[in-house]
Amino acid sequence: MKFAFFKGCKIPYYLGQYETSTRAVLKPFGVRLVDLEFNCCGYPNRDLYFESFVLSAARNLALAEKKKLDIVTPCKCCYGSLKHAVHYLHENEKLRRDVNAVLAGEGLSWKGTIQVHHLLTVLCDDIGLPAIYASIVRPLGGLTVAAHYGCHALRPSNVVHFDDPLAPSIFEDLIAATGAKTVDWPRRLDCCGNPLLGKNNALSLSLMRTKTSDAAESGADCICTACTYCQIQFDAVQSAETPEDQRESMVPAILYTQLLGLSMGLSERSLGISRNALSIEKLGPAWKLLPGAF
Amino acid sequence: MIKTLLESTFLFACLYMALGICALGILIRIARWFAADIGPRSAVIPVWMRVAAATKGFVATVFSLRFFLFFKVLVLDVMLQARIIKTDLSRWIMHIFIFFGFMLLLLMHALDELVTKKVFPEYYSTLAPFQQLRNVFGLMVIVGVAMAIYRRVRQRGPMLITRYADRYAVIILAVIMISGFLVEASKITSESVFNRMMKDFSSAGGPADEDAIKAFWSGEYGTVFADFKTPVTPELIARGKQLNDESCGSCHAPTKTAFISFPLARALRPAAVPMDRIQADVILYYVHVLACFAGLAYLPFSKFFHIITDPLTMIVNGMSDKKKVNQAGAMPRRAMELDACTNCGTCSRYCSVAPVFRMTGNETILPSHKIRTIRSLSSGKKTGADELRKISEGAFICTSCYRCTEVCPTGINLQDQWFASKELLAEKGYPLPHVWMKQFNASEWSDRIRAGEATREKDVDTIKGRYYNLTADSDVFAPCIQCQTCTNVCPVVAAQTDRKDAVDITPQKIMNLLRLGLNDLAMGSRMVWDCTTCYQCQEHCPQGIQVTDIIYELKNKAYGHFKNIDRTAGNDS
Amino acid sequence: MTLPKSHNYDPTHVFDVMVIGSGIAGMAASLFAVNRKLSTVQAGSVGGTLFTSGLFDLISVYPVGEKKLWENPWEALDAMRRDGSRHPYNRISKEDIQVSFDEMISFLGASGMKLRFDQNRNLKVITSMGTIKYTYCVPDSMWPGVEAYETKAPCLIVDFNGLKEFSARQVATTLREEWPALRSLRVAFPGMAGRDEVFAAHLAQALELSETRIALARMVKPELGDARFVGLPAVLGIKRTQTIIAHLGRLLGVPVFEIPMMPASVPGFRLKEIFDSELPQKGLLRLIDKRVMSVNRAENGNFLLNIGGNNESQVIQARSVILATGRFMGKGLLSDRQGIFEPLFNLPLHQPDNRTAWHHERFLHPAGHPINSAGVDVDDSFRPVDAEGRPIYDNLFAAGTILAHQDWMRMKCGSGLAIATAYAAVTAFIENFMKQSTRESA
Repeated sequence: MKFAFFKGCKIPYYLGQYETSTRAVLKPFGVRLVDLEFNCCGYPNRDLYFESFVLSAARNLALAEKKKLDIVTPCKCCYGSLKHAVHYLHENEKLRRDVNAVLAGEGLSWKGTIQVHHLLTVLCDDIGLPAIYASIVRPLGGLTVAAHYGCHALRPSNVVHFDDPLAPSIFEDLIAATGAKTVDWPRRLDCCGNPLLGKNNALSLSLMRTKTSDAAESGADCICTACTYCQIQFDAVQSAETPEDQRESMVPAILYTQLLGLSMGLSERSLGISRNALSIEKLGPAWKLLPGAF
Repeated sequence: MIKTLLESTFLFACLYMALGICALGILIRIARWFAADIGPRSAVIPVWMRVAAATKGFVATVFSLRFFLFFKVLVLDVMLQARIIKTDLSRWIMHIFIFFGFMLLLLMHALDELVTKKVFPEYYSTLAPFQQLRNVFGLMVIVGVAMAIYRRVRQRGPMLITRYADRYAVIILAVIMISGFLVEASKITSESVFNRMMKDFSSAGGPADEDAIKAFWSGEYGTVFADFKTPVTPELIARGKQLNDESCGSCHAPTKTAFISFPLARALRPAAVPMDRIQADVILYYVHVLACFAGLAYLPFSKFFHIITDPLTMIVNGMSDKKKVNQAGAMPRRAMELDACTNCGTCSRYCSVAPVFRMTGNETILPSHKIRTIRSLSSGKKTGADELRKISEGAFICTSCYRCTEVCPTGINLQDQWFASKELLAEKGYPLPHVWMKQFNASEWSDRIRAGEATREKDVDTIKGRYYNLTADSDVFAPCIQCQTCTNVCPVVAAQTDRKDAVDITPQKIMNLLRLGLNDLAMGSRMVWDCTTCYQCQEHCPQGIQVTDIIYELKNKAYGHFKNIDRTAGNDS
Repeated sequence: MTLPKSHNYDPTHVFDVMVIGSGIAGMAASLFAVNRKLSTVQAGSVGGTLFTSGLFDLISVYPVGEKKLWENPWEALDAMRRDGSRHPYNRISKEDIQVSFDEMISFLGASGMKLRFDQNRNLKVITSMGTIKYTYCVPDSMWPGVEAYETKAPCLIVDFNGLKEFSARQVATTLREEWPALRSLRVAFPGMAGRDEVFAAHLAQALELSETRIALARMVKPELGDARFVGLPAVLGIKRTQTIIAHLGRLLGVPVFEIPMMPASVPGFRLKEIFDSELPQKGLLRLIDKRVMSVNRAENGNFLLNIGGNNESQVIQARSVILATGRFMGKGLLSDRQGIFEPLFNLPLHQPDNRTAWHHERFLHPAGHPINSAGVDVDDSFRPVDAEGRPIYDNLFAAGTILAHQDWMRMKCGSGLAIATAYAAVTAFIENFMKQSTRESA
């Protein structure tokens, strides 16, 4: 299996461990990730200019098309953005023409021949749950996890085709494979608040805290994410923005690739769990589950 | 031959003047680093604090005992310029040629009395291998310069800006090199130089010997004699060679080894005699030396200042922790970095949001342009509101992806520059649109649209939306039955954190405004700008209305309207 | 046979039943089908479930013109039968209607929404307007309210500042004469003081956190007085209703109940939540937010349905279709100047002869309007029929409010109609096909 690996803008500087853990986790399943000279997916730009957003996404699609590779991305905002572009380009002829006219300046063109995948669907549909179960050497039983779906991969469902938007199960299925327990928390499909960071911080943090309170109330040890922005929100932002007297009530977050990698017995060097700002209590030193956690 | 400029008090004086100007210029530039206001809270951080912080940082770096890292940066980044080769092999070749060619010429040729003679006591400029090497180095510089010119012409465009300073740099190098070769060539052909040398050094016997040497030199070494009547025979040449080996050979390698100057001399043959008469070699020498002095004096004010700032930048940034920024110390560093930028355009070539530039035409999106605007913003020059708006847009479209910083051959911490300028722009009143939209409420913005209606003709196309027009298509929003499902599933409405900031117009009210044709009112509402784009409303709408897409469209249209409105209207300024 | 859980599916699979419509009828049909191990696929938009009140009606008004209320709904059904009414209920035996309700109630109960009913009588529930509604099944969360009204016990109704469409004072005032011991109280919802407007779903979400409940109880307890019940607007959580009610009950020391509100109301969200999460787990393949664009028929009589999307339309092959697309709001029926029509199969419809006959002159005519009982005519197997009464397709069934000869809003029979006719359609399919199958099986 070979994919063009679309990292997005945030991973290199802000969340390097997402890249290293993703590569480490996909390698044993024979998935090859190819790096192309991608640009920004366009999602941050949609607030200002519709055309620039589509062009940015389209250029990435065209680059992958040129190499005849499907795209896989670990970030849900990038996934949503690219899928939106695919949707609009299919639907609107004028847009398609104009975008291709600009792309032609670089010798590129979009024809719609490649698919966009998210890391989770590659794991669940392409690699398959049986293969994942077979690769687990250290089940994380005793760890209770709240699966955070994020928004942009899940909705709007007619564009993103990710999972059932009202009752998705793909993430819980994947987490269950690691041996960890999942909780059914009422706010699991809600937004983490990151899109508002820098624009309205009070609101952004309020959305985040609603999620973490709910996760805590539902008995979770941690939140699991599969999106760069969501992880940044629950990890770096939660850590930086929680005052001293409220730190007790923080709920830490972990990337799915880190969780899976742990249960697959991969090295800390590639998983980078120590690079996360918040640590999960139940995962004691050396990331082994503390005794009595079972 | 005039030996060295040490014999000319005029040239000597020029040298010291050039050195003085250069030194003074460097000091002035460095001092300016501490006065430049680059970054947030620049008004509150006094100069002495910046000097103190910078000195502390510098000392800490130098004495940090991280020798290995220091040498790594010095050798790989500064000497071998490994950062260029990361992105562009041909640029690396070009720069290595220019850099090493020039530096070696400087050390071996210009400072031969001070350097080469000390290392090689038997040095003489016309001896092998120095004569060849001089030509090799000179050729390297010329090839490098040619590659540079070719590159700038070929890749002309918004990604690669070529300005006066770049052209000047190329021209001065070309003048120095070309004049250097011409000096050597004219010396080769010069009869008067030959005669002088004969008088001083020759142990030739009589006129017959003189003729022999002349014959040899004119045949083999390129000298051009105005009036040489003696027939040239092989015996004459053999005798001349013998005499040459006796008296000239200890200092003169065959001029052919000056493999650029010699053919050049041959080409100048027709003009050699008139050139000699006007003492062209002296004139060209003066041109050559004075060009060097001009370059030296102008160095701190020209692109060549990067010879000093680039190594400094590479060392400082290579050894410091990029994520820990002390604002007081950062400001002079940022100013230094601005002086280190060589306009190579690599940052723009790799910029993640370059496609946005291609679509909108706002070149302040590109890093290479942003560096220039930062420079002009920090120089205290008054920047107009229009300009600031454009700059602000460019600054906030940047996604801080770090790529430009990774590829910058000069090692500038561009990421930090962008953070600082974003904060500065916000301080100046030009933050993200979502923030400046908060200064007025929905109806105030609506009034502003109506007021600006008359001047909006040009923007009609953008406002209308060329591809989708959900907010003007009643089929899209007419099915709304005001069931409030969208509002009930909206997390932003649920979270309303600040009474002042409250979501004034909820999603279903926005639909209603559209039905009433009051799009203007919707555009400036908090809901539109605080929308977290989670798509819950659109997913749950029983009538299948694209609520989130409509909000996005309102944002786009509002931005199109408002970005050209003087957003400070109503306040003073 | 099992269906794939993910949104992907095997395009060559031939389904037993395709349910079109995701309102109560559609969801009921899907439930009955998967319970009987039929391979079922469902498509539809968001659906009308969101607009339900949480109450499940069987029937309480008949005839509509007299506004006659029935204490015993089964007696109303008997009366309809005696009168020769063509109401769809008359095509289903009372036993079957009861079975369909039992099956739905048991499913909802197992999914966390317990419903209570009293076999032979309608229950009286107070509404947010202070009126009394007759209904058949009441969610557990509203049950104490039924008791409280019956006994006219001292009761405190609490409302929240900014929650429009629910005024405790209005409820108390409207019922003052028959229920003098009913008091009202207004509080600011914890964490939302100072807001001009609050919304039901947000209150429900906030109440899912124990700290909100504690703060709320702290505000209400001092005002309890002699009240033996506390009534709140129906905002007591979406997923944790039972926990919330139990907790509040403990904190206040008296039973707490919900009062149904206007759509879109939280109990509607709850019901939708249950349908969305439980039915796929039982094996239903749900094509979310996909509408059926057009239908063709294969040679073997199976239906080929084009499920829409812009660049992605899929074709589903099904041995039967249950059409539960509702009426005008859900676009199950469309209208133009000439008349009304059914857009998918172009079924002939029972309707007034011409447009002028759609409505009475009086808007609030007590008998309702002829257009309200227009719709699809069916036979006893709930198959749409033509003018001669012959089924148009032997494998097409219809259920829910799309059917003719019923005025569910005025008769208060909406959910019963949906559930019972869905049951009838599914069992008719099994009767007619599964027992004597000559078509290819999956």
